[in-house]
Amino acid sequence: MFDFKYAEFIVPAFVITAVVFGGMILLSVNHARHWRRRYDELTKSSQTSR
Amino acid sequence: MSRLLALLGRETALAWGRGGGPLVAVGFYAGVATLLPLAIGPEPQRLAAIATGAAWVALALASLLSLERLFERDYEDGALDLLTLSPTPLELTCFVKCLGQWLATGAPLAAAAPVAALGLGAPLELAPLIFGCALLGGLAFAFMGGIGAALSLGARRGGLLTAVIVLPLFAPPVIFGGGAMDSFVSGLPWRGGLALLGAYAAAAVALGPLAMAAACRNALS
Amino acid sequence: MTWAPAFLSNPERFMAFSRWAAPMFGVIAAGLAVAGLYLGFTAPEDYQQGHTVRIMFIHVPAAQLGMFAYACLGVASFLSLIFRHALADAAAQAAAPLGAAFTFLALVTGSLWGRPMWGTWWVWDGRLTSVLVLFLLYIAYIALRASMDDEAKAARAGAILALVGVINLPIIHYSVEWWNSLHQGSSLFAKGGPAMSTVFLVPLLLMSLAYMSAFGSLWLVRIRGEVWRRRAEAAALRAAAG
Repeated sequence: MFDFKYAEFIVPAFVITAVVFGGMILLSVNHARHWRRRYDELTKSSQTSR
Repeated sequence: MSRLLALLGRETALAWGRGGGPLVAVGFYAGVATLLPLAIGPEPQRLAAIATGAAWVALALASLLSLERLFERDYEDGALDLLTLSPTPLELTCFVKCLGQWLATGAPLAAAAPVAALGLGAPLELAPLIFGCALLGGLAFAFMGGIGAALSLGARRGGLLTAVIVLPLFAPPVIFGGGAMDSFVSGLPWRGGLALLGAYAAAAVALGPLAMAAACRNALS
Repeated sequence: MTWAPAFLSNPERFMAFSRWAAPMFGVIAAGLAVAGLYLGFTAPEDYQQGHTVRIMFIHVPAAQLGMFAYACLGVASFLSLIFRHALADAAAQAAAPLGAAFTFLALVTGSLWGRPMWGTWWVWDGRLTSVLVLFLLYIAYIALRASMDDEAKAARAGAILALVGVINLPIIHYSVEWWNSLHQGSSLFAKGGPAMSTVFLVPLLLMSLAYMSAFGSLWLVRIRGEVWRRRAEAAALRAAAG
């Protein structure tokens, strides 16, 4: 499949792009999820004590 | 006016006296200029090809050295608070501080620059231009560097951070000065590069203090 | 810009908007990318560049977005300095790593494109050098924010640096172009360039729009994350204070 001319340059370019995009998506979504959960936890516990 | 002169005297004396002042910068500069042939090899043609460029970059690096203490010193001992409270606008104070920095380290470095370049094999006719470029460039380096120094107030690892902030901003003056000297050596018109360097330095002197003052106010708030 | 203060002073409105806008932009980006890649790979080989022309479809948009993200960073920093609102600062903070990632992609794919075309991984060409300096500016911004403990101070210091960078970028670009002309450097890019044929232009345009929507989506997600983080930290402070 990857036996066309210059595949050794084209394939890495696309792979690296895919990896960086994957990383950006994963990190951004995880960051948002993590802090949203953290916020929910904190507000829930303070509401019970209030 | 006399207040500004007093401030300039204080800043120059501090930059000159404390922490070695010009000695450290010039010593660093001499050290880099000595290491370069050791890394590249002593062949005169090879050295001469890079002499002006190497001397110029080493100068930019050397002007970074003493920046670290430019605002930090006054930030730590509370003098910066006093300077903000004084009737002199903080922008003017920052301007004077950078001018003092330039007088204490930029000017000695400019005097050392032709020596270093000649030692590396640059032609003698180039010496005045190197001196001029180093003086103008030093002004740009001091005022752009001051922005970095003021921004990294209160940060961890302030000195290294200043270098990381400031080095990309040094690209235009390094290019303009290097271009002027390179053109001079190869017999091309060189005034354009020098004029651009002067314009950049003037812009840095005019606008830099605004950013520095904003950064100092932020650090003190 | 009259909307800016009202919009910024109301994070609730932003959260409500971004809740559906972020996934929507993500879906649009995915659709455009699929279409763009399909057209890009079914397009005939370029008569000069052969298959390597396909790298263009991911390289050029990455370079565009690297610059666009810095513009976003500059505008957000300006708004955060003027209106002192946390949402603008969250937007600036969120844009920087994305812009750095796009700039990194532009450098890497450009290098992988340059190797077969020019026979070298890197040329000190005007455009390449400008993009490299842009990357260094992103690094400086991220490093400055990361090394300050006080968040409010880090925000303002970062905003000042971003604006200094915005003023300097055109000068840097001009100086690098001047430097390149001085050294008669490899003029790899013809001025203006030849008119690109539609078989390449359409996929390139689709990919540009895909990258733009992807950036929009990720930016919104990161801003949302920042808003939650700041709320969580405020809540933790309240809890600690009793």
